[in-house]
Amino acid sequence: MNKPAHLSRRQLLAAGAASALLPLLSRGGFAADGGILRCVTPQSCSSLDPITGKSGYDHAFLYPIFDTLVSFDAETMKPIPGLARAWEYVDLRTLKLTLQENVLFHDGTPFDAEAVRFNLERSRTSDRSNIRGDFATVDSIEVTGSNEITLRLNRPDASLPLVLSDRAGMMVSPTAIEKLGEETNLNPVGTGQMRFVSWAQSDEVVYERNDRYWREGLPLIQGLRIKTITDVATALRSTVSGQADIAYGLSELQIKLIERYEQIEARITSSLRLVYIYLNYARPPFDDKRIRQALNYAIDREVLNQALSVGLGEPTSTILPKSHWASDPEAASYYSYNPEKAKQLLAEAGYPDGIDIHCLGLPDQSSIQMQEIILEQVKKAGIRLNIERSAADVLLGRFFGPAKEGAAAMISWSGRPDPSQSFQQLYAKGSFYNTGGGETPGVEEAIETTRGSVDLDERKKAFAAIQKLVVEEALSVPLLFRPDVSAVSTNVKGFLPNLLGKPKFDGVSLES
Amino acid sequence: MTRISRLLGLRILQILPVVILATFVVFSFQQLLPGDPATVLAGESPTPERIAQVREQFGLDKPFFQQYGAWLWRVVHGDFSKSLMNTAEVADLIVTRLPVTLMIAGLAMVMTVAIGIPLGLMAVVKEGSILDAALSALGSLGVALPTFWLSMILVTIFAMKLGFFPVSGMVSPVNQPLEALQYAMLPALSLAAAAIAELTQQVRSAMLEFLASQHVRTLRAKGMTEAQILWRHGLKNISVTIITVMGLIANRLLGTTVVIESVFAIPGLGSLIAEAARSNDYTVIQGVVLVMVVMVIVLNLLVDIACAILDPRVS
Repeated sequence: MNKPAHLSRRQLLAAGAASALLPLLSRGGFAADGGILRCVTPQSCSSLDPITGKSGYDHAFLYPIFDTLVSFDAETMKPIPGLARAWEYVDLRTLKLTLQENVLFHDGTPFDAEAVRFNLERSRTSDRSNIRGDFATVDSIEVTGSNEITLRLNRPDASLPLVLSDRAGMMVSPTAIEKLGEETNLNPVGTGQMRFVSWAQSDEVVYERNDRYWREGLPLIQGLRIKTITDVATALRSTVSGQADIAYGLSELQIKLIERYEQIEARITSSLRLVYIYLNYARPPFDDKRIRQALNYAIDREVLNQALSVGLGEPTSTILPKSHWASDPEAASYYSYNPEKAKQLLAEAGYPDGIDIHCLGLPDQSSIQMQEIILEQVKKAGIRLNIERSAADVLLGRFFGPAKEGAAAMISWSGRPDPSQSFQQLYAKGSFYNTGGGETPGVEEAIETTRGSVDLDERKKAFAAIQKLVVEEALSVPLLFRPDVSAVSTNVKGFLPNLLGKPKFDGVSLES
Repeated sequence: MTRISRLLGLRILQILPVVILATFVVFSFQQLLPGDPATVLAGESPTPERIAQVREQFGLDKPFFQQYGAWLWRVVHGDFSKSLMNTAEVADLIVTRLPVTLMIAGLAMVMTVAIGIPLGLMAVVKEGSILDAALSALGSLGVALPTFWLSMILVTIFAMKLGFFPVSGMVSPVNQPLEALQYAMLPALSLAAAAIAELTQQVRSAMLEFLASQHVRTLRAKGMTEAQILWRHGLKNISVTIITVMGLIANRLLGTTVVIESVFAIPGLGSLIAEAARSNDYTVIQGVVLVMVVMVIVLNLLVDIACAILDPRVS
C-alpha cells in the first residue's frame, strides 16, 4: 500500500538532504592560500628538461627551476648578469664567463665551472638535445678556473650571451642528470628560486620554495603552481573567482572584461610575438621579389591591429618591436597599405589579372578572423588567397617539413632572445623556418656582421642593415606585434612581464 | 544462467577484435592526416639534421604496419609506451586521469537517473497537464542546448555569482573524494542536462505505451490502484527500455567528456586525448582510445546482462 507516497517522500528527503549539503560542501578548501602563487595559462609544458623541449611556452615553466647563465632586461632584451656574474670577449673568438659563487643546486650539488661545462657539452652534443644548433659557432668549452669558463669559437659570435639566457643557459644539476638520465625531464633539478614538486602532464606543475636560494631576500613566495587551462575564458574566470592569482597568455579581446572586475587588473605589455606570414621564396610564385612586395603592400596592418588587438598592438614591417634595443624604425614602417602599388607590382611580374596563392593557416577563432580580414584586403590588390587550415603542430609539418605544402603560411613568430638567432632561423640558407631553403644574396654576410661585434651600438647598426635588406627583399610578411595580456589579482605585487613574452615570476609577492 | 554465461562469453570474445580494429582505425587516421610529429619533437629551432635524427629515434621513419605492430606488441606485453611529447608513461597518465573522468561521467549518470526517471513518471501521472507540456518543452530544450554553452551559463550563475562551486579544475577523486565531488558537480550537471531530458522523454513514452496496453486494462479490472499499476507493474515493464537507454546515455556521456573537460579545465581522459590529438602524440591517443573502447564494451556488456536478467526473452 501507499508505496508511491512512500517512495516520493524518500525522494523528497534525499533531495532535501542534498540541497542542505551543498552550501556546506562549498566554500571550504579553496580560499586563497597565503604564500602560494597560483598561475594559469592556456599553454602547456612539453618538457621540464631544457634541452628536450618542443615549445616556446615551456620557458615560463622552466624559469622558476632553472636560473640561466645570462639574464635579460625585461623591457629592452639587453643581456644582464645571471648565474654568470660577468662575461667578456677576450677576443672575438673567445668568450669568458665568470660565475657566481656559493650557489647550490636543489640537490646540494655545488654550482661551479665544471657543472657549466657539463651542461653546455650536454646541450651541444647529446643525442637528445634539440638545441645543438645554438652552439654552431662553439668549438670547445673549457674550464679555466674554479668559477670561470671559456668558450672558444670558430668564428665571431656576439649573440652567445643572449643565447645563454635561453634554454642553452639553463643549468641542470650534473648529479641529477647522471643519476636520472632521460628521467630528468620528469624530475628537474636546477639552482632556481623554486624546487620542483610535481608535474601532471598538460595539467599542472607544482613548485615549492628553494630555501637556499643564492640571491639575497628571494624568493618572496612559499610556492608556485602553474596550471594549464586551454580555454582562455575559463582561465580568466579562475582569476575572477579567486582560484588563481595570475592568468597569462590571454586574448586582447578580454581586456574589457578584465576591467569590469575589481579584484583583478589587466596587465598589457608589448612582446616579440609577431603575426607573420612565412613565404616559400625558393619557388614560384614567391621566388619573384615583386610578388612578395605586392603581398606586403596589400595588407592594411592598422586595420588588423584594431581587429585583433583592439588597437594595442604594433603594426610593423620588421621582426623587432620599437622598444627592442636592436629595432630599426625605418624598416618597421617600410610597407604601408597601398593596393594600387601592389597591383602594379603584380602586373610587372606578369600577373595583370591577379594571382592565386595557396596559403596555410590555423583553425582557431582568432586566426580565422585574421585570415578573413587579410583575404578581403588582398583581394583588392588582385591576390586571391586559397587558405587551408590545420592545427599548429600539423601545419608545422606540412609547411616546413619535407612535404613543403603551400606557398605561404600565416602563423606567428615568437622571437628569440638574441636577434641574430631570429635572422639566422628565419632567413639563413637551409634553416628550418626558411622553408624553401634558398639563399638570398647578402643575407648570410649581413647575419655574420650582426655577430661580428660585441659592442651593442655596433650591433644595432648591423641589425639596421639586415632589417633593411630583409624588408626590401620582402622575404616575409611581418604584420603586427600583439601585446601580452594578463589578468592579475590586486594582491599580487611585482609581476613584471617581459618583451620576450615568456613570463618570469622572480620578484613576485602576495599581499594578504 | 547458461543463457547469461553464453552472452558473457560471446561479449568477452568480442573485446579483442573490437579493440584491435578501433586502435588500428585511429592509428590509420593519424597516419593519413597531414603533418609530421618529428618537426614538432625537434624543438622550437630545429635543424634538418635534428629532424632526421628525431624521426629515427622515435621510429617515425618505419613503415606504417611496423609502427602499429610495434605499438600493439608492447601493449600485449603490458607496456603502453611513453608519451612522444613528454616521455611520461602513458599507463601512468591514464591511471591518474581515469578516476576523474569516471567520477564526472558517473555523477552525471546518477543525476540523470535520479532526476530523469521521476520527471518522466511525473509527466505520465499528470499527462496532458501544463506540467507535462512544460516538461516536454524543457526536454526538447535540454536535448538541443549545446553542452559547452550550458556549462558556461551554469558556471556564471553557480560558481561566479553564488560561489557554490569552483569555476574550473579538479582534485584527485582518490585522495580527496569530497572535494572532488564538489569540483565535479557543475561539469556533471552540464553533461547530465541532455541525458536527463532524453531519459524523461523515454520513460514517459514507454510508460504511456504500457498504460495503454490491454494488460493494464486487466489490472484495472482486477481493482488495482493507478499507483500500484505504475510502481509495481509499470516500472518492471519498462525497465528494459530504461536500462537500454541508460547504456546509450553512458556511452555518450563518456564521449562528451572531451568537450566538458576542456571547458572546465579538468585533467581527465577527454582533455588528455584532445591535447594529444593536437600534437600528434600517437602513443597517448592510442592508449586512451584503447581504454575508452574497453569501457564502452564493458558498459554494453553490463546492459545486456541486466536486460537478460530482467527479460527472459532476451538471449
